[in-house]
Amino acid sequence: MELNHLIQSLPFSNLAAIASLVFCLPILVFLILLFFGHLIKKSDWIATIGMGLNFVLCAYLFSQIWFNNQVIHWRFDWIHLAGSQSITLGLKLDKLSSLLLVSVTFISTLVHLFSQDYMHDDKQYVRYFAYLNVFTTSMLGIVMADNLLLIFVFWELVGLTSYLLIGFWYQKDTAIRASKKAFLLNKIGDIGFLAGLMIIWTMCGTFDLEALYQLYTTSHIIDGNWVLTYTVSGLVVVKSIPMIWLTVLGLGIFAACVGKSAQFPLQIWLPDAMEGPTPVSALIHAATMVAAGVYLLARVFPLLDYHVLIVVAITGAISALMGAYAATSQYDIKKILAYSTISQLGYMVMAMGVGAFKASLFHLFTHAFFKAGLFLSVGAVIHAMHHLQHTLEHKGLDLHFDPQNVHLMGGLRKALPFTFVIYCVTAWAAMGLPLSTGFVSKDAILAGTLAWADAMSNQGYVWAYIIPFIAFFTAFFTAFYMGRQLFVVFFGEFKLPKVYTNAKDAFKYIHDIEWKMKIPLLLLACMSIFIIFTPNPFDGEAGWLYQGISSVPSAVPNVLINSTELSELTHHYHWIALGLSLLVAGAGVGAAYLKYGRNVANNQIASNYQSNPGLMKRLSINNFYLDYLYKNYATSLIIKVADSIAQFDNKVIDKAINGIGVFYVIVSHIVAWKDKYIVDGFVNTVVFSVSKIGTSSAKIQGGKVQLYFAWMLIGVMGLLIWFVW
Amino acid sequence: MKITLELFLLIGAILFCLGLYIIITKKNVIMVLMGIELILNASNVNLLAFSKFDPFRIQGQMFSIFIIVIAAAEAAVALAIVLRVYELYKTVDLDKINQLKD
Amino acid sequence: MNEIIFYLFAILTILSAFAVAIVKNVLYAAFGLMFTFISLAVMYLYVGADFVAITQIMVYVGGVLVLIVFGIMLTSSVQNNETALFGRKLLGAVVSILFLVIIVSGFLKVDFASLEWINQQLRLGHTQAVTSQHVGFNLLTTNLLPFELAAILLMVALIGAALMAKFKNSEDVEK
Repeated sequence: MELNHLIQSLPFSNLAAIASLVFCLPILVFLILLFFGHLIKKSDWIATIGMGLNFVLCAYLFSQIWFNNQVIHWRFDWIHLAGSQSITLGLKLDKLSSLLLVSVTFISTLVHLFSQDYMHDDKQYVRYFAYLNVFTTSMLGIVMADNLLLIFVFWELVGLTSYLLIGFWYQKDTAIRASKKAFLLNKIGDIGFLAGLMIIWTMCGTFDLEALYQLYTTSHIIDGNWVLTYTVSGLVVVKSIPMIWLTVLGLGIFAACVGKSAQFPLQIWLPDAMEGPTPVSALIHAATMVAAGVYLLARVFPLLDYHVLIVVAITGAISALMGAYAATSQYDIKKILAYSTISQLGYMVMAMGVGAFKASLFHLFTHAFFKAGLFLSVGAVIHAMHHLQHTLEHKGLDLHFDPQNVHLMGGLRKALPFTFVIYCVTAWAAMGLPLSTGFVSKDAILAGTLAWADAMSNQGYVWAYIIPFIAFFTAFFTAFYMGRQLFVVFFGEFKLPKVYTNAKDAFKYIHDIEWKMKIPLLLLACMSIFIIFTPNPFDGEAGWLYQGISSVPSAVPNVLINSTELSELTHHYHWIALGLSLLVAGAGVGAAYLKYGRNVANNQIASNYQSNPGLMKRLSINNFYLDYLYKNYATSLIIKVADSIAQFDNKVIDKAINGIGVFYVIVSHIVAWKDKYIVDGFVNTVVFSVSKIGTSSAKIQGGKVQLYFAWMLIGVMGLLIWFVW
Repeated sequence: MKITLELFLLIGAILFCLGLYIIITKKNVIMVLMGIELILNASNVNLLAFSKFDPFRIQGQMFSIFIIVIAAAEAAVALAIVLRVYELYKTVDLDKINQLKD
Repeated sequence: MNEIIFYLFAILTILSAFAVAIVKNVLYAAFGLMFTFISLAVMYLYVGADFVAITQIMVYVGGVLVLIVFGIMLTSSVQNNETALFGRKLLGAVVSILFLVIIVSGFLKVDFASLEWINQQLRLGHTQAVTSQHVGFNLLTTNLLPFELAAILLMVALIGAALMAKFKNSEDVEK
């Protein structure tokens, strides 16, 4: 197979032009806002309308790709090396990426609109929109890129913009720390990505995903070595490395996904990232950036061998369970959703690992909408609480309460009826109750895990049944914590006056949100109803999304489970998974009702600030003490290593260098003596004789160097003439 | 209009002679240095022009790379010398630096 | 088209070199020299010497010219633009024109195509551009020793230049 044919340039079409426009528009808006933002009054509208326009363009691209069944692919040589392969860059939109394009720009537009009110009082209003735009660009870059190198570049850009947005309120110490934490933990994953890229380059000599897929399908395993054979400009290249590197490569790329999608053990940045503005959390930490990890997995899915997939499945399951369990006892309204996001992403990653490719992507899209809806409605609640704080301040009551603490809320359904309805719809989807999108997609994932476990146990891996077990357990906790949030925030009594007794009539100052915030909420709630994705509320496979996206068969030479076998088993397990998930979700909501819904009149606050919570509860609140572990063990270990290296440097290397220095001083003294008496003596003699000759010949010379040169040239001329003729 | 070997040689020759002219006539030491650089460049032109007929061993190119390296070293050292000379004589006029006369 | 660009740059080379020779202000001369260097680099591309062209720009324009400009500034010779005597100019002109005549008539007499190695290339019609790959290969095989020596030379020159420019009033010490 000729590598240069695989990565030959592809022409620039009209649709590719539109796609590049989609990519460039947010950059343009970013530049306008950056340089002229302070001059323009309606800068927020520029950003919103620009993003809306982008959404329309994306929708057009989507319709072209989806209905005409075509793929936009534009590729050109970036660096061309004579006699070897080129390095290409390109833009590729297939069904999956165009769908992601639409959902990213859609949610981004809604978040822009929502932010207009939410961020209205902020001094750095313009900067906020500029960041949002540059974030959207880099996200679109990841989606559109046709090779891993380009994905890596935009991957880093997404990390950077996420850093900027989490630390947007840079006056807050916690926000700065959260942004640094997010950035560093993402970097840990990205190192894995880089290592994976290096192995890919060494083996395949290209980063282009299509070419990689072709190369992988032709690779073989010979004597435990992974062997690739292809030609570059006619020369045959045979590359062979031990099998383990194929796994290491996959693990490296998966590490990037672990960082970005907040999977175990790097998930601790996501709860802290809630320090950023709430619309940002909705856009980045629910719908887009964290989904990028899953998207990357989907892109490289056929290139992962089964060891990696098992690791992926286990990691996803662990994250799903840990996230869900930690979410059950958080009291910060946003952190509940943050842990929920970790858990749901764990679901998607787990689904990828068990080979439920379509189910994972299906859940990616449904989750993007309902989680963005949840975040924005929670944002509305926080907004209302903030306003309450301001109103009370005007009334002369200076209460410094935390507007995000759920224990200060309660009964808000009367004060915020619109938000309540939206929250109910989106939470319904999150809990995975029937008639919602979340139900359909979660059911698909659960069926996938059961099918995988069955197939694995046929191969002798009976332990695989633990994965569906964890998945159902997680589903229970998901329903439980969503139910808890619903009951604690919207039902019962308003609890602020119980803590701050001087704010008795605070409840009547809470007002529902304005229209600019209502529209996004309404649209996102609509997107959480099953009919958007599938006509049959109990079977996602009937829906257009399932029909449209085609799963790619694995291209690696060692495959454990046949994908057709897996899909047949999935069909088989569909109704079992459905029934079980209904049962589990119902049990979860029921438990939440029993614990928080029935006796909400009880003084919750007292029980929640109890002095000595049980071990399980403490584990949950502190997210299994992961932060503590990292801080006390990983960080201190690194510091110790650094200290010992410094010690080594001081004691051994410095001493050795000093010794060498002393040695040289001694040697140079000897040399100096020799220089003074022997060399100088010789030179002095020469100089003396030369000066004698010079002074004697100076009489015929004027001391003008250039004239000497001219005379010399005339002499040379004579020589030349003698040579030439 | 064809790019011939002779054309390159002609350009090299012209540059060389301009360099000679500069070296002989200019008073400023730094100008003389510039003339030397021009001459080095003229030699490079010739070497490269011939190197075209030696596409695999490219000795001409090798040679010119070394010339460039040495020219850089030469310029650095020469300018250091110029600075010292300026410190000593408070001038860079070559005609006034004529201590060699006596 | 290619030829036209080449001729343009050839003319630019010679004109700017002329400017260096004629202009009185030293700084302007340095500026003219920059144009000579750059257009020479472009001409090098036409003989397939892309690496040398890049090196030319980096070393000459980026290094030597900067040094020269620093030299000009440190010796405050920007205003110092006394011209040489007419006699000297005449001498220079005569010598250099004679040289030009000798060189040009010299190489016009030679029939380069009759040289074996050039002839061989002409017959093969190898006009393939020599890539930097060959340069690297040759530098590290056939020319490894000169390459290392050049490195040492550069280092010595660097240290020497720094030393010479640094120590002040050594003649005071001697006195």
